[in-house]
Amino acid sequence: MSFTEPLFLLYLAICVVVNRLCPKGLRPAFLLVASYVFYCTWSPAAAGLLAVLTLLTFGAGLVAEHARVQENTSIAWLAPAAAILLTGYLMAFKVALLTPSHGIAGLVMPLGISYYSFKLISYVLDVHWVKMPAEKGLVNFAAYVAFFPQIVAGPIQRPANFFEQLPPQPESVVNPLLRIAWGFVKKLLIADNLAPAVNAIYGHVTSLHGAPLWAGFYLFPLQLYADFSGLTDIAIGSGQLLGITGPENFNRPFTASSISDFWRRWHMSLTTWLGDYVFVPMRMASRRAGQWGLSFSIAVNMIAIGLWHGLTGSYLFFGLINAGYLIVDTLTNKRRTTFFRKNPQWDKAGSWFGWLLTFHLILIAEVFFRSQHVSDAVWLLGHLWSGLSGSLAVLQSLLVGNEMRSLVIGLVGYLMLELGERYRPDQWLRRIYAVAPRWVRWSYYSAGVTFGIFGLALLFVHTAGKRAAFLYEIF
Amino acid sequence: MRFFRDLLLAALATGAVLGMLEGFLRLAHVHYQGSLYANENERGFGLRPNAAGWETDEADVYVQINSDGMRDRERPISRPAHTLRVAVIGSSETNAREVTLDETFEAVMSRDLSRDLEARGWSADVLNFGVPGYTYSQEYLTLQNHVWKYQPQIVILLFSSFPVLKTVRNFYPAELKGAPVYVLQDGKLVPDAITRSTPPLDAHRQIFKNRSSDWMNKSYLATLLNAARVKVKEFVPALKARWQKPSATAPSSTATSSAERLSYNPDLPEAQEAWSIAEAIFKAMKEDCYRHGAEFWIVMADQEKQVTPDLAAREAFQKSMNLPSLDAVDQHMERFGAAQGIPVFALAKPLSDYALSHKTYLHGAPNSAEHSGHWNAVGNAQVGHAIAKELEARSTFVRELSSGQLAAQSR
Repeated sequence: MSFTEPLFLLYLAICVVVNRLCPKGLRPAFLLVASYVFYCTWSPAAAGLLAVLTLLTFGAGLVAEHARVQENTSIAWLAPAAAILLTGYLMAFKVALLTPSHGIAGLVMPLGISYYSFKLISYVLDVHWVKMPAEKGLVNFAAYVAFFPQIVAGPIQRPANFFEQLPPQPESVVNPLLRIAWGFVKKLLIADNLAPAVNAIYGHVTSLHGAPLWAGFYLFPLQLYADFSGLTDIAIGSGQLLGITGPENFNRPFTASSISDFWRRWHMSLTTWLGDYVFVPMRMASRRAGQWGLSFSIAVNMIAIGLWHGLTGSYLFFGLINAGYLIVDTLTNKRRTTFFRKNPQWDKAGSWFGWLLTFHLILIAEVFFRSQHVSDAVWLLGHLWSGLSGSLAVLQSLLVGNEMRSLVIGLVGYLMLELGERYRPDQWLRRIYAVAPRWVRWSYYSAGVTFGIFGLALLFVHTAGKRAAFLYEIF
Repeated sequence: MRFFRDLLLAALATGAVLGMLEGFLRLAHVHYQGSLYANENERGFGLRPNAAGWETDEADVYVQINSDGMRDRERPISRPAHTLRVAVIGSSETNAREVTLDETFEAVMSRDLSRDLEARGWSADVLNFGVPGYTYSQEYLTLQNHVWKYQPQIVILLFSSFPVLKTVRNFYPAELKGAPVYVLQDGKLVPDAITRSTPPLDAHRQIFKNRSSDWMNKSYLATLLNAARVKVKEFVPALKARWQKPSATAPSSTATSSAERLSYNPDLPEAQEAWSIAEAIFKAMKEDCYRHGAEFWIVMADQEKQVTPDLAAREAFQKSMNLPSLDAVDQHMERFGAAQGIPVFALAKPLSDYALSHKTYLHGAPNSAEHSGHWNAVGNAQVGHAIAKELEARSTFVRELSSGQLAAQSR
């Protein structure tokens, strides 16, 4: 069951109603059952694996707490060992799938493995580091790990934050529904309309020059953002409908004025997770090594981000390039700040230049992210300026049927997305609504219902019987 | 009073929202399948006169139906003087809704034949009587009751093997609901019991339905809602199929491959009844044509695997279907034509030659699965050229016309 299928919306609607009708105390159990039913539609075997890991990690948490309370150092190693084993489990799947001829026949990546593994690791380490007590209720814990709105592609919610919200007490349905609708707009109107052009270009990258490569260079990051943030919106909105608010994942990343700013705005639940569980411990350990230690910690963190997506050369390069950017950004930060303080007349120009430079540096890194092989990415970046004459016609010939129209719709939609996130019309509409006369409020309702009906119709027509996969579902 | 004023203003605001959505769809050129059909008593269904709407299944084409329910431009009923009229009857291939009207093979044929006859002061008019989804029973009724008023000198039945299976009810019972079916009784074609007992349609209801469909086609939003309605209708059976065990879903895939096998192999015992009824219909068509003094031709549409430029794919398909040959149906029909004195022309050979020499696919429009489905624009053009050439070479009427024997007459 994919988030873009009408079946998912039907399932979600049933879950929302049943969850609200459930006595509060039974809601975690209901969420657990609903999550496993959802997961079983993908693979009952993978659901079994998830259940086993959940049980083992739950036990490891209890033992870690017991060791701490009893000051029993002989079993204190258990929690770090569990974290290492969980990392090994995740790595094993990524390696096995990288070399299918050496892997287990018929092996498929369990849905959301990268996300639930990180949830389990953070839990066991948080208990070990006394950031939170061990969860005593197995049902609550299992519901946290398998919570279905987040299992496909996050956001990666921290355990303490999830448990604080139990038993779930869902409130308004309007805001979550709007959030879900916005997610669908991002996915179906923007990302899916940009996808054919991106696929056509990256599918033939080494035979192209000039214009098509520029198009691929600029379009993929927009598609990725619309796709992934759309998925996050659906996940967060669905979670809120069930009474659980997940963490935010994006904060207008392409407006970042520096690389470090970008990474504070992009896939925030992953970057803060790796910051807390990889970067900070490494930085503490390498404190004495000064700037070298800092650079090393950054590099390890960014390589981990790259390889989290998959153990391939392109993801490794993606991590390395970002590591390089961040190291330069961090090491020059002090000087840049001093320069702009002394030369305030350059401040405005600096912000613009910073934004433009950051945006393009990110695009360069994203080329590696999207390319099948490192050589494809090198080709794309190396042939942007070659064979420009006539390449526009090649770009047009790559887009068959309705793909040019889709591209225009996708680009206009992306512009709407940026403007919408910049000016937040929903917020000023809400302000107007609060003091508006009755006919305006009624118009607001009827317009909302009209949009809802046609939105659902569009969703049905474009997704029923098809599987519009999200880019981040595969990780 | 204020209540009604507020209600009116809210309704106006909703109207504005609807207008905005309609405008957005039009601006983005996002359209959905229009409704071009109407129910009728005689043939079950047909193209709705004067209907116009988008065809989006395999390509985005704006299709217009003329006032006589044909996917064609308006035609004078009486044949104009010095005009060769060719009537083409058939189903979706004939209708050619995947291409614009000018790209249909009928239009190509018309241009080719007109060019050939120009020197004699004649022109050609090729009429498109194709209706997607039609069976041979429906095509026979089209010939009997709709074609003759146009006084064609040549009638072409565009044959494809799949509709043969629809001459009996047992293969596709749901698709034949409401459609007439013939059975053989003492060697004669008679309507089957279901056809005879089907009650006539409620005329008022049909008028309302047709008007609603015409209005719906004018609005992109309405066609969107209709497309969603169709998807919702398909949703529940699809859901059921999804939850069935693999063993339970197996028959549907078997049915598909079995239909393909039957389409490529006319000698399979389970399809013999269907073939004998289809052949009886063809014989009846021939007799009807002779009664009206017209030549009757059967043109065999190719099947996509016969003309794919990928020879390995042809071979693999033949093997997977365990077929003795991909041309078995063509050979079967050529034998039938020879025995009945009906000229039969198989398109597979000229189309295959063209596909191989130009390394191009003749089937598959942008919205269909890769290289599958109906003829694309190139396919239609080649079909039009091939049929025109064949008529010029073998049709008694066209040859006499070309040689000047008939030029002085306006037969």
